[in-house]
Amino acid sequence: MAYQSLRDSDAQIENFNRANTVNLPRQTHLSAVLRLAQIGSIMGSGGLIVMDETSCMVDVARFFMEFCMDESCGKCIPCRAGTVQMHDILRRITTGEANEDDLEMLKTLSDLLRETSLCGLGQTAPNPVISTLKYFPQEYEAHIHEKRCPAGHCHMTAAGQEVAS
Amino acid sequence: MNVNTLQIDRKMVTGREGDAIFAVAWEHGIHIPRLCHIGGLSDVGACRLCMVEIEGQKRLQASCLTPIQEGMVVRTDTPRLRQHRKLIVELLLAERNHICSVCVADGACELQSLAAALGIDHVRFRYRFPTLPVDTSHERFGLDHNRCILCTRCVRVCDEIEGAHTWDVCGRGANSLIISDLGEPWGESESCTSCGKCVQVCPTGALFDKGKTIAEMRRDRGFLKYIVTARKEKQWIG
Amino acid sequence: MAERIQIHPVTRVEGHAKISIYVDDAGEVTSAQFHVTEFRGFEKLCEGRPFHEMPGLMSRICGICPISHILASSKAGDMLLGVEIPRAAAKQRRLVNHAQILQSHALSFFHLSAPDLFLGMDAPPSKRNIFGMLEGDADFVRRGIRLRQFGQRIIELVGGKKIHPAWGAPGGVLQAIGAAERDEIRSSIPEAIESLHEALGRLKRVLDSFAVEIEHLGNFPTLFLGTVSPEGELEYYDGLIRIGDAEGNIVADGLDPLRYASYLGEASEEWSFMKLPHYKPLGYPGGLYRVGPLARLNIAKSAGTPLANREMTEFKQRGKGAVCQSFHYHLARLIEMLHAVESIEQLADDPDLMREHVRAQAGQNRHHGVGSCEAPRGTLFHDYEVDDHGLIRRANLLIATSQNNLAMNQTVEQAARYFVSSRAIQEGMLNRVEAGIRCFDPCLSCSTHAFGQASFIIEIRNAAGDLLQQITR
Ligand code: SF4
Ligand code: SF4
Ligand code: SF4
Repeated sequence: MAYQSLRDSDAQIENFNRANTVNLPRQTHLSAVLRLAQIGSIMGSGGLIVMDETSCMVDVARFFMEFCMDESCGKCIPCRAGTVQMHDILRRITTGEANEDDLEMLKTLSDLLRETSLCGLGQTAPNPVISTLKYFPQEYEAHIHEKRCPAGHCHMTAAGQEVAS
Repeated sequence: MNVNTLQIDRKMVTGREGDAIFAVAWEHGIHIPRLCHIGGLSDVGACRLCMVEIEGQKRLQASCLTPIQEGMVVRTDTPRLRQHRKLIVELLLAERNHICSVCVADGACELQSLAAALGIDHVRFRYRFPTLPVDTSHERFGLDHNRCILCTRCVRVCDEIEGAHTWDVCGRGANSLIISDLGEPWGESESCTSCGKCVQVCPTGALFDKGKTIAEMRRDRGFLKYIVTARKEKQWIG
Repeated sequence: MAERIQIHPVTRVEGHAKISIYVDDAGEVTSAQFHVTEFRGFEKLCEGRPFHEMPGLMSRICGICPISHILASSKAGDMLLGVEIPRAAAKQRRLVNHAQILQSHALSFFHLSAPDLFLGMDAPPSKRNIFGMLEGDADFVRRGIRLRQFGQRIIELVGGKKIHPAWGAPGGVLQAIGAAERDEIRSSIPEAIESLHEALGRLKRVLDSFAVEIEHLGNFPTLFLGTVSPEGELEYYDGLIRIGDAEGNIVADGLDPLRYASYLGEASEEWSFMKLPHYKPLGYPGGLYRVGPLARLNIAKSAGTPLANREMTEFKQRGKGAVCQSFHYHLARLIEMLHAVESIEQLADDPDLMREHVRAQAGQNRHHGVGSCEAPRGTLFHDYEVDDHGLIRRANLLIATSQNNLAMNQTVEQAARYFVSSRAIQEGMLNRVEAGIRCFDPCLSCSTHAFGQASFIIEIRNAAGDLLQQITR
């Protein structure tokens, strides 16, 4: 039985990778979720957040980055200053002020924090960015190139409009 | 005393068992960058500039806190490490207000010279321009938070060498701030003995002798080696 | 239809500026204004910083005359410490101040104004610059360049750096001067004097052809303000303020720079970022005064050095009482350069200059300090109020160029009325308006504490303020 559900979850993961969405059948066994590590997530304290297409993935990443920025102890530089800059870039994407270079820098900083932070907080702080970039790249691109939030969540500022024109 | 042999940047080197990679590398003329480390004080591995690649290990390691091992193969200067170091220094430059041309430490600042050594000619991040105070309440010294990189050298030297433990860090994350005693102005600190050790070890223009003008601040760190060897070996050498 | 002519950007001045010329329906000029359109706010930037940093920080206001700011700032610092600085330090500061006057005046005269003076106001703009000069008389231009280099070299030798040396500090200066440096300075003096004699001769020979400009470019009575020595001679580093009038009378003498705020008022107008200083007892705008080379020569009784003395006596004959023609700023500048070179020679021979003790050590003993000195363009004041721990609470800078602001405005108006008619605007007309400004050699970066490249706009507007024509360069 346990073996079976693990096989199911492999299929789920494949499905996920293809469609960028997870269609979990009703009553999916939690063991399917337990393989989240394969799709780049962790279980953390056991909480699960359910979102639909009205959640903006960039803003979600920004929200988690804000959390990490606030919780950073400040001892090591990559985490203390890196979360601040990553948050700033994410914020500017959501207001339409960011450009292609910012997106590149976001990726570069993700590597830095993952590889050089002193503790787990900084090392995992980029995870929401890395996985939203991986599974929802088109949301980032819409914000940056079209100055548009596909989820209809973000409010593009005048400064952002100027960048666009 | 056991001796280990290892390879650092393709050079065969030996070191005492238990020594940090960082120390062995420096002894052999391989100068791994650092800002929080200073010889004579304990290491905290906070600046992450000394991180190195070790063959067979996926993770990078802070060389100041990683002991050598027999047969280890270490790389201290790879493109990946250089990129990380550059970013870290840029992050520091953007974090507070570093305007070298009007800084007391201009020309004798470890952050500045490291930035130059890494070829940083501009900062890719948005400057944060925080509004931070300058504490010149002490009769002889000043602390300018605008130039502090939170390396905690001052905290450690005051605690470990002077034994006063005047300094500490308050707040967290980007809001961290060096404080004297419980946040009193330095001049009102009861624990500070005015020895000046913190001022001598600060890598930047954050701690300075009062009355110094632009580019006038120079430091003397000879006392660290002198005191540390005197304590450990009962030998008084400078 | 009434119009307004704008000259923007004003060229061959340091900084950013705009001239508006208002014309009436008949095409006659009704008024003109000189606007400064940049803004920097250095005073604000200094708040909360230790006063010991000020010389270095303030010198960043300007790349042309950083030395003047270092000096005024260091002197304000000396006062906050409550010390008398060592003799060697005072001599070094004097030496470097003369070097600064020399290099700045050389730039103004040879690079910026010589094209007008020696190629003519109506020469084509493409030729009316230093490159056009080089084609005509390369040797003369080179002499000018070398004079400037001499000034800069002294600054470099004493301060360690050409532009923004870390050299002056509250209590003195940072390092003593060596014999090699002094000897190098000495060796260049004969050539400098020769070049200045040549320049003076040439300028005096062409002055007659500028009779109209001399008459109509900023020729009006004003007060003149500057520093004089206790003997009433030219003084650039340390002295008391004297104010003279157009008739050559002394209106006020022995004024303490520390109390400048009690006799100098600062008005502001919305059309310019520059403050409008005036002599308080006569009010605004009646208390209009000029500073700088012309003012200094007018108020001092003599130069104090032989060659400059001779020139100064001759110079004073150009006016009835004081010399009121702003055009003579050029001549005054050359005479000051001669005086600077002579003073440099005297200082180089002064044994005090080489003494080792260059810095007085003291804690902060006061809460208010004012430092003043004569910058190339006029009297400069730095005024700091500090808290108990030496952090700047309030800073105020009174800059030479802004003290000439009112006079520059009048000059522009006078020049526009005389030279400009909106019927047929010719380049040469507008160049004369600009040249009026260039007499003052304004350094707009300092006076507004602003940055930007040198640029100049002239606009012509009608009475309703509509822009009719705009010339930008
Ligand atoms: S502390 Fe160092 S890096 Fe910062 S402003 Fe001063 S000299 Fe520059
Ligand atoms: S001066 Fe000495 S005692 Fe005082 S804070 Fe610095 S290291 Fe500690
Ligand atoms: S004050 Fe200096 S020594 Fe102390 S943490 Fe800041 S940078 Fe480091």
